[in-house]
Amino acid sequence: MPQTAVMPAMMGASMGMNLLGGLFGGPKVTKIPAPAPLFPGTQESYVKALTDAGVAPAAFQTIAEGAKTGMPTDVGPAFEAMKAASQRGIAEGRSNLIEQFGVGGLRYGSDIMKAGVDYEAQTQKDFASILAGYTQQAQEAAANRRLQSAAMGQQATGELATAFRPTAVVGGQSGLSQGLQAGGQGVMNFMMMKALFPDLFQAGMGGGGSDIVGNLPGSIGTGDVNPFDMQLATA
Amino acid sequence: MQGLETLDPVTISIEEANRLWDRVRHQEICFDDFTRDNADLFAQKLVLPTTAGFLYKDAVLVLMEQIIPKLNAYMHFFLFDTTVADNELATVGRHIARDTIDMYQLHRITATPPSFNKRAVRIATRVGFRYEGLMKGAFLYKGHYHDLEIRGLLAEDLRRLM
Repeated sequence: MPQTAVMPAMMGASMGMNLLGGLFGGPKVTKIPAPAPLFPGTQESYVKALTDAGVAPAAFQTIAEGAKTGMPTDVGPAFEAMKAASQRGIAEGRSNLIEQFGVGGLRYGSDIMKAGVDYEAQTQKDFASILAGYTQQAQEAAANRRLQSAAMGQQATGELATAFRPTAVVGGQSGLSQGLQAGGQGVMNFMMMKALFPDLFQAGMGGGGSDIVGNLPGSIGTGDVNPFDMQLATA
Repeated sequence: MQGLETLDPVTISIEEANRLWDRVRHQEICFDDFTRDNADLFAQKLVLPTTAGFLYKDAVLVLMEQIIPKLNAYMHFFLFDTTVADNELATVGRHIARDTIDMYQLHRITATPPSFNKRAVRIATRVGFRYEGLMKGAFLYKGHYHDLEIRGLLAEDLRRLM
């Protein structure tokens, strides 16, 4: 039997198990307790260990904050500078239009004078825009750095909520704990599948059984069966 | 210190920013041929996280640049009002040096005045900077190469001075 056919067979078995569970047990409502630390002392020492290790407590909330708000930078000064510069552009554009339509006379002279006299002012105005632009860039870069460092901290250590009782609102686990949990689930699935369909696991196993476990749905890795990996496992 | 304030490029108003650049860019002696009249470079320098700016009485801008916490920063003076006495500028310089050292736990501060700028050398000396060496031809000013002095002020020396 080709190894790529294993996935549909397993999916069918899984659906069957779910159906059986529904028939025997039916939907069951479980009262979820409010979030509370299982081990307050451990939680405290965990935070302390993280903080001592250099992960800022602020990092625990930064991801959530970034997701909610996008962490906008203060564009007030930049906006004001841009507005001032654009107002200037609008005014000059207007005078150019007037001249294009041939309304000349003294206006030519006054514009030339204005251009000469305002040269210094225009140079100054440009600096405010330049400064505002770089300020905004710097703030955005800082926000990105903050987000990245928070993401690194979060990935390395996982959300603090993993130390709480599981509730409907608690989510997010570290990659390590997710992997361990998924890996354990994968092994259980494998054992169950092997018991139910021993023929599926005879061909091409050789010494590569653990490779197949690694690619079972929900196991460590992508969570999907990769046909190329399966081929490697059978090679 | 009375009249001394920090320069924050985030909260500075348009008028203040324009006025600052207008005064700074006329201090030709503060810039080499590459950075002179270059608003982009000056703005970039101001907003860098490794730069701290201080203004004193609308007369002088002092930038502490390339700050490396627990180690070093470079001090630069931009003097708008040439009537301010050297002693007063030296006091300002020491206060800024002390504040920056405290803030970033610096070990030292470095100044690199061009050799031909006698007033800059004099002010650096009065602040407490000691002569440490010379960078030959490291400053291109109006088409000619000039030497830069290397001057250092250790945190422990500044404590003794203040």
